[in-house]
Amino acid sequence: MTSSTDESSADKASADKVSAKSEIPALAIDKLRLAFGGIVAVQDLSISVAAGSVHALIGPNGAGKTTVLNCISRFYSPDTGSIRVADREITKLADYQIAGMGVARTFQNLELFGDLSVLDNVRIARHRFQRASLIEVLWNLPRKRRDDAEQQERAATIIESVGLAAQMNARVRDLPYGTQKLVELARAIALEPKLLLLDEPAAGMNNREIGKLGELLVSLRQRLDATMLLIEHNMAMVMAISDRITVMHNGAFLAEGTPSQIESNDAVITAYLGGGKRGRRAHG
Amino acid sequence: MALVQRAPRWLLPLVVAVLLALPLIPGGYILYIASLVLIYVLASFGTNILTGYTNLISLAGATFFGIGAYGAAILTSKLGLPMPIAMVLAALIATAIGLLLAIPVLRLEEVFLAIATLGFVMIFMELAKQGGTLTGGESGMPGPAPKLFGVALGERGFYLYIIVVLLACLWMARNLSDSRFGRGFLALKGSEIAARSLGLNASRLKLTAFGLCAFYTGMAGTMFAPLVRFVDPSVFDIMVSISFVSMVIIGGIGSVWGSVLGAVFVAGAPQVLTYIGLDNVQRSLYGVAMILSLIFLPDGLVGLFRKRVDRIS
Repeated sequence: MTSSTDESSADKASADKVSAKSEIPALAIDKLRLAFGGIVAVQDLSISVAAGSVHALIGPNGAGKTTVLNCISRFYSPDTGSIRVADREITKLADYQIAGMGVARTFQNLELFGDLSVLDNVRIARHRFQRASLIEVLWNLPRKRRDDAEQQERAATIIESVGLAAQMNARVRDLPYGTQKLVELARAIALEPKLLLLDEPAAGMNNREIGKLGELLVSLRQRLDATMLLIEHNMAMVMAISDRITVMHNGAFLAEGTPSQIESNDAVITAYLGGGKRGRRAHG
Repeated sequence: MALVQRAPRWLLPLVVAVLLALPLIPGGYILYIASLVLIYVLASFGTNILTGYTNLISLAGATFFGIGAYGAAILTSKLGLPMPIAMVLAALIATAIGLLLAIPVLRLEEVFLAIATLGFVMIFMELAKQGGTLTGGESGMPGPAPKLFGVALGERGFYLYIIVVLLACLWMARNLSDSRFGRGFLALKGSEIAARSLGLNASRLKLTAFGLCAFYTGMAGTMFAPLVRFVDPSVFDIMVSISFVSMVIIGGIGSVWGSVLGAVFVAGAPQVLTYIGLDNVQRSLYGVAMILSLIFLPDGLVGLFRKRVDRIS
């Protein structure tokens, strides 16, 4: 979905009317608000992420980006506002039900199972595709064995698809940081998500790794037919792979548009670089 | 850290061979201690499923052990059920009660859970004492005579029966560890947040671990009753719970062989000390050994062997 003008949340209603005939958004956040005590982390934020798009969420540190992701994951409950995934309200669901809505995520500071192998990390994400009951498991009945064999094979295929075939049986804790990031991505993909939430996937990676990650995300998007909501500070990558960008500042909506619109948006440049200074690019 | 992990292949056959050879030693006392230790090993497995997998420490062990023991005694003597059926039923009753008790307290963590589960032990101790003719009150009731298909099992026969039950339970624990449940438990321990985001229902998994713990510990109780031929409220004693948790911690959290070593130490050492005539210093020696092992073996007794293996290879 591309639009020719910047949209603010105020004229989102008219934008909705225009796109009413097109698909239902993969993710629709409406007037989201969340305060911790007296600190408002997110205020009246509305974002519509078109199905199949790569949508970046950027903003200075502390802008509330990860808080938004944690609301979608249901780790936080917003004070007001709604979050709809493929037109289904999710703010009343429990956190473990979000995966079943086709939403997967990665974490800013890695939340891997460090003592386990890469394969086991990814196999755990196949939990919800397994049907064998506890009794079948305890007695090692045929369905359990079939179930496990299938899911192990599936997990192995996914690990190969992110280029980690050689590290399959390595303990995750022993791998370099950039590789661990890929393990987390593989684990998220293993949920077969329709909506993939990526919290700073490139952080801690070197330039070569970032280039490969960008290519991987673009190919994944086609292969999975998934929508991506991407939080990222590396502007080169954001500009290269995003269809649209939403900018947050101090918990609030600042701007939205295509990469080229955002790049030349005065409010964005001011928020990133402080008043007065101007640059072609927001810093990384 | 899987619950059943890379131990040398020859270890299990060796241990089973030693166990099978034990009845050849004349005199019933060694066999009695061995039976007791094996029963404690099973309870230790149960405690380890909960503590080793999910890091939850429960002091409710005696509750399930006692329900198993009383259950087996009541079901055989009052209802006339055959011993194996009464045992499985009693273990299932312990599981059901365990699940009911777990629902309200599982949201508690660490030391709070431990204290809350302590409450169960007190309640059931009181129930056993006030049970009238059903439980025999303070003075207890006779345990069932070990019988299988109408044939009375001698000491040796019942000892073999315990080994079979233990191996079956070990086999199930191994199957569990290599499954979505076993990996789910480890996921909760590794990062509960990640586990939740991957669609794992943390409360349900913890409840499953609690139920399995109750089943294994209850099953251990069902074999205790026929072994000592007597059940009284002391099976619900808090020291029983504490000994189960000590076995797991001393042996090595999250390790099956750790459970075995811990049970041998906690249940066997006092008996051996009494046997060799150190009766009067038994408790203090045992206490000192427990403290030393915790200070010098943070990974438990099993860590001793692991390091050794590493050095050799």
